[in-house]
Amino acid sequence: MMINECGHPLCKNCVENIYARNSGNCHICNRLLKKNGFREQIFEDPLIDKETHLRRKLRKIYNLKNDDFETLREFHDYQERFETIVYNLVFETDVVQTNAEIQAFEDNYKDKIERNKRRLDEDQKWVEDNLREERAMKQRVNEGQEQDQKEKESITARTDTKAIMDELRDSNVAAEEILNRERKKQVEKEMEEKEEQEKRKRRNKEIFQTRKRQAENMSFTSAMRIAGRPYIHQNLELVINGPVVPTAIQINKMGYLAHMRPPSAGRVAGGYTATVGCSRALLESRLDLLVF
Amino acid sequence: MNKRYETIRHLGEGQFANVYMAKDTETGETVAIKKIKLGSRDEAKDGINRTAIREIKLLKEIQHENIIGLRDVIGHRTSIQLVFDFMETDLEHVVQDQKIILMPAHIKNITMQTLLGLEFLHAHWILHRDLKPNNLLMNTMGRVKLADFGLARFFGSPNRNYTHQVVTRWYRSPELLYGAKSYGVGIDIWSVGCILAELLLRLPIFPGDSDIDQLVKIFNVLGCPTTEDWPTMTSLQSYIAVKTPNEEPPELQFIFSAAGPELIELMKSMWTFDPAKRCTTTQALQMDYFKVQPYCCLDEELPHPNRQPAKRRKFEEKSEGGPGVRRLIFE
Repeated sequence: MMINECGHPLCKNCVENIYARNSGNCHICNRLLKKNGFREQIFEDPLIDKETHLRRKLRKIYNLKNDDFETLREFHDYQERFETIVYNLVFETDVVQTNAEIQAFEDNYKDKIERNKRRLDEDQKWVEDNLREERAMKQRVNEGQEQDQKEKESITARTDTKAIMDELRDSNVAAEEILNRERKKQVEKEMEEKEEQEKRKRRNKEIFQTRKRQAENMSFTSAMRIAGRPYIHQNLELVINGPVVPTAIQINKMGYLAHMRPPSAGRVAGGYTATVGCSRALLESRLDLLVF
Repeated sequence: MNKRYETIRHLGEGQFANVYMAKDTETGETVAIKKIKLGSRDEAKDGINRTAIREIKLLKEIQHENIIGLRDVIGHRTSIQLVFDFMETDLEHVVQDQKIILMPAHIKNITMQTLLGLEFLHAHWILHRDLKPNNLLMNTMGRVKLADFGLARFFGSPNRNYTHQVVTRWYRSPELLYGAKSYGVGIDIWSVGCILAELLLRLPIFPGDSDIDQLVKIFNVLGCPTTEDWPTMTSLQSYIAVKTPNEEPPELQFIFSAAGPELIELMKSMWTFDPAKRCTTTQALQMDYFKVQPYCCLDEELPHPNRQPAKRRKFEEKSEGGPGVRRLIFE
């Protein structure tokens, strides 16, 4: 459905037909409307849709912040007034007067409104700060890890060169041989590192995938099957955030069945008992409490 | 078909769908794609096929290692394609392949995997309603998965009627044969019992050729239910008293000479006439059968049918079957 400023919904086709000349009268209140004023209706209740739309529009003008006022009292009055204006416009009481008031307000506070367009209020600032802080912390952690890694590497490299120098000086083995051996070692080490890195990558990917799967999974843990030994079955457990679902025995004993219509003999014969119906209802009442 | 999936070959055709083997270019895995047939204009006007809706609706919600995974649903213009895990074979092939020897440990493993998948379904209040060897798929890793959710639906609603025309007849439980309008997990358990028997005998245990004959076949093996066994049975819609054959039914032990007492006990509880007294999946999994030797084998140790020739033969049979054949083949 489409909706215009008067808040009377109309379907898309009708909008195209009635407002073929880009303007026309509302089919309910006869107000003159423009075709480009139509928007997609978001809320089912047209009144609510109208209100949210109006609020968004008005907030562009009424964007004063707490520190624009001298006392808190004044700020609260300003907010109170804003609510009244919204109410008036939504229910179309004193529309002319209210519009005049808005116009006057806009003229009076022109500079402040213009300035506030680029200014965040306190809540937004707080969110921004936190986000920035978090990012910075992540970076710090990463940097720290990298630094450690580098330090370790440089230490081993230094000792290595030192050891080689010593060996070259002291031992009787041909220098070529020692150097060859060392080169080989280095190549091996590099290969190892590469492998290690790849493994890490794979592991990360795996972790990611299992997490994804678990999230998709309705958080049931599947039973372990192990060959070559007696199998002890663990009951399948549903992880829910709410109260535990009572067992069949509890349902029978604790009076849950007082709220169930006793099933006919034909139903019982097929295997449906009141307990079955009751426990499904009880689980269903907790379904949105599932941990994902 | 789709940019992400490359079709490799056509696998089979059922009444409602064509099945293709395809490669997922994003992950490199092989998948099975079930392309729902739209059929005539007349059929299409009612919207998309009910079985497809059921499969999507239920499988989207659940994930378990013993239940076929619905990886993706592709809706393109008027066609619907369901992307499933690729499974090489099914238990029907395993049972029919004369070269395969099923050891007790193999049977235990298959039964356990089936029950675990089924327990998960039942815990989510879903009945499969079409369990049979053909719908238990197996891959080369020996993982068994329940498939074909075209008849599955939620159960446990106090005043809704369900149709009793479900489950392939040979695996249908007595309450369904008697026309029960409401039923529960018992119908799936009964089918599992029949599948278990079929794994042991390598033949269907109750191959009835009509609903009445089906009951007779069951009673010949298990004896007739008495009002003591199943007090409410006379209130079922199409209840008929079947004459007891004069001689006592043979002991199950006699039919399944290779089965141990624990296995007989498991089968007896799966074939309890009164669905309210029949064991549940959880109870079945807790029974002694799974605790005694021979212990269940590793999934990888399960035998595999010699795929190539078996499939050829299968295909010809299916295509001769004409419109009556509605099963999908996931080889």
